[in-house]
Amino acid sequence: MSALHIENLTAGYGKRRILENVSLQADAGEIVAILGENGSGKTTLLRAVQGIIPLQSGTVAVNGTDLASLNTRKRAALVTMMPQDHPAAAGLTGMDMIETAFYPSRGLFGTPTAADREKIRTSAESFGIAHLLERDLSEMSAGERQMISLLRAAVQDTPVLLLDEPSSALDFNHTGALFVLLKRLAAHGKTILLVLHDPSLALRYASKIVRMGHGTTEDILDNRMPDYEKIEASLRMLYPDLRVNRDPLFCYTETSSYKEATLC
Amino acid sequence: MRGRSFCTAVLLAVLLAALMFTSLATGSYPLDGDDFVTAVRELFLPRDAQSMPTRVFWGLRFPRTATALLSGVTLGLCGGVYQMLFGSPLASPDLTGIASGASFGAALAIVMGIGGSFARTGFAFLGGMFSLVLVLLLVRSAGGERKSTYILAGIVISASADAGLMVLKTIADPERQLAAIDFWTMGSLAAVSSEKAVPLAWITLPAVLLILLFRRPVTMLSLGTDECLAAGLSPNLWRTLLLSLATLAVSASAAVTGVIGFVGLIAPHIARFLYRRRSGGYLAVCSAVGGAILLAADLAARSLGNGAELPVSIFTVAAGVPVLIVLLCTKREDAS
Repeated sequence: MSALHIENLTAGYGKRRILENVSLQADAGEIVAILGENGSGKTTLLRAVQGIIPLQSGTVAVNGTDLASLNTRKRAALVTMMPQDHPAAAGLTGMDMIETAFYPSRGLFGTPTAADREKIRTSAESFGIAHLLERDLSEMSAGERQMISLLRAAVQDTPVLLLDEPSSALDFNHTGALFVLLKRLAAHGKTILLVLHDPSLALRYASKIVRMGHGTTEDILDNRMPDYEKIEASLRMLYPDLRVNRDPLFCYTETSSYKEATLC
Repeated sequence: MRGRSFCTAVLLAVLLAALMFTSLATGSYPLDGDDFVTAVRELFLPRDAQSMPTRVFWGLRFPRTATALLSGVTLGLCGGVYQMLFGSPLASPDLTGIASGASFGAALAIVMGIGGSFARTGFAFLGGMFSLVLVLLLVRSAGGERKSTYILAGIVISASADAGLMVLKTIADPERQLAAIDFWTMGSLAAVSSEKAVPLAWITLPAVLLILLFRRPVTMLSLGTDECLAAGLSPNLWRTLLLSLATLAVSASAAVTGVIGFVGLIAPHIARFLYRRRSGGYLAVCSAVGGAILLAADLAARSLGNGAELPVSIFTVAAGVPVLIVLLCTKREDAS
C-alpha cells in the first residue's frame, strides 16, 4: 500500500478545470519532485491534495485513508503543506506560527507544552534558525518566513509533507540545510511531495521525478536506479538545452551542517 | 516579555479599578466609599426601605458604569479580532456595516414613532444583525474565500444603510425626531438603566468570553487561508463564527449606547503598543483598553458639559485621534 495514493484526480477553481485525471503513488520515505512550466498545475495539485480546493473527481488517500472522508483537522494530522506564500502577520513571532503545528493533535484548547516548545527549539537549532523564533514575522525576510513555514510543516509530524517551491527564497546554505532536513525526514518514513523549479536539485535528491504539463502528469521518472538517457530525454521536453551530468556540481551531505554545504 | 505582560496586566487592572470607582462616585449626586458599602448592604431591601445613595447606586451609577465597561470591552475586543482577521490596521467593528445598520434601525423606530427607548434599542439591534446577515449572504454568493470580500461586502451594506439613514433624516420631523436621530448616532450612556444593562450583559458576556476562549483560531486565521488549512483549521467556518460572535456583541452594545466611534479602531493599537505581541493575552488587553477608554470618555461626557450630557463619541474621537497620530509617528509598522 502506497503512503500517498492519488487516483484520477480532477480539480480546479470554480468550473475551470486545472488538473485532469492525475494519478500518482509514493511510498513511505520517498521524496517526489514535481517539475513543470508555470501554469502546468503543480501548485494546484498540492492544494488539491491538502484540501484547499475541492476535488471535482478522483481520490487522494494517505496510508489507505481517503482524505475526502476526513474533516480539516483530521486531514491535517495526515498531510500538511508549506504554501508558496508565507504570512507576514505583524505581532506574531516565529514561535507563534510554528506552535500552530500542534493544533491537529491537541485541538482548540490544548496549548503547546514545555516539551513541545523544546521540540521546536531543537528543530530550529538544527535548521539554523533558532534566532528567528522570537522575531516578529513582519520583520523577517521572505526566506526567513519560508524557513519558519517549513519548520511548522516539519514539526506537525504528518506522514505526508507537501512543499511548494520550498527553496525559492533560500540562500545556498539554507537550501543545503533544507535538503539535509528533507532527507532526514524521508529516512524517518515521511513521504515528501515537493514542487521544484531546479532540475538539478530534483535529480540529486528525489527518488521520483514527476513532469507535469497541461494539468496532468506527462511523465513519472524513477530516479532511484536512474536511466540518465531516459531522464534527459524526458526533461528536455521541459528544458530543451538541459544536459544531465552524472556527477553533480554540488551536494549537501548528511554530515554537513547548513554552514558547511560545499561543492563536491 | 513575561515581565512586560505582567506590568501591562497590573497597569490595566489598576486603571480600570480607578476608572470604575470614579465612574460610580461621580455625578450630580456624589457617592463615596461608605455609600458603596451601604448600597451593597441594602441591595436586597425593598426599594422603599433603601436609602437615597443605594437607589442612586443601583438605579443609575452601577448600570451605567457596567454598560460603559461592557461596551468598551466589546468594542476593544472586537476591534482586535477584526484587525487580526482582516489583516488590516484600519479594520474596526464598523467594517461589516453593523453601526450603519443599527443606526438605520434606531432611526426607523424614531421616524415611525414606535414605542420608547426599548423599541429603539430593539430596532437598532435588529438593524445591526440584519446587516451582518446581508454581509454574510453577499460573501457567500461571491464565493468569498478572501478577506477582501468581507470588507467589500461590509462597505456595500454600510453605504446602503447610510443612504437609508439619510432618507429617514430627510423625512424626519425636524423639531423632535431629527435631534433624537443625531443624538443616537453620536452615542451616549445617559439613558442606560438596569432594564437595558441586563439584556446587554446576557448577550455580550457570553460572546466576549467565547471570543477570548477562541483566541487560538483568531491567531491562526491571521496567518492566512492556506496556512490555516495546512494546520487543520477550517478558515471559512471559523471566520464566519468569530465574525458572527463579534457582530452580535457589537450590535447589542450599539443598540443600548448608540454608535460610539473610534474605540474599536484605537484600542487594538494601544494594546499592541502595551503588549507588543498579538498572541497570548493580546485580545484580553484589547478588551481592557477598550473598557478603560469608554469609562473615561463617559466620565468626561457627563462631567464636562456643565450639567448637560454630551455625546460620548466626542471624547472617544478626541482622545483617539492624537493617540493614533502618536502611534503612526512612532513607526509601529502595522499602523502605517
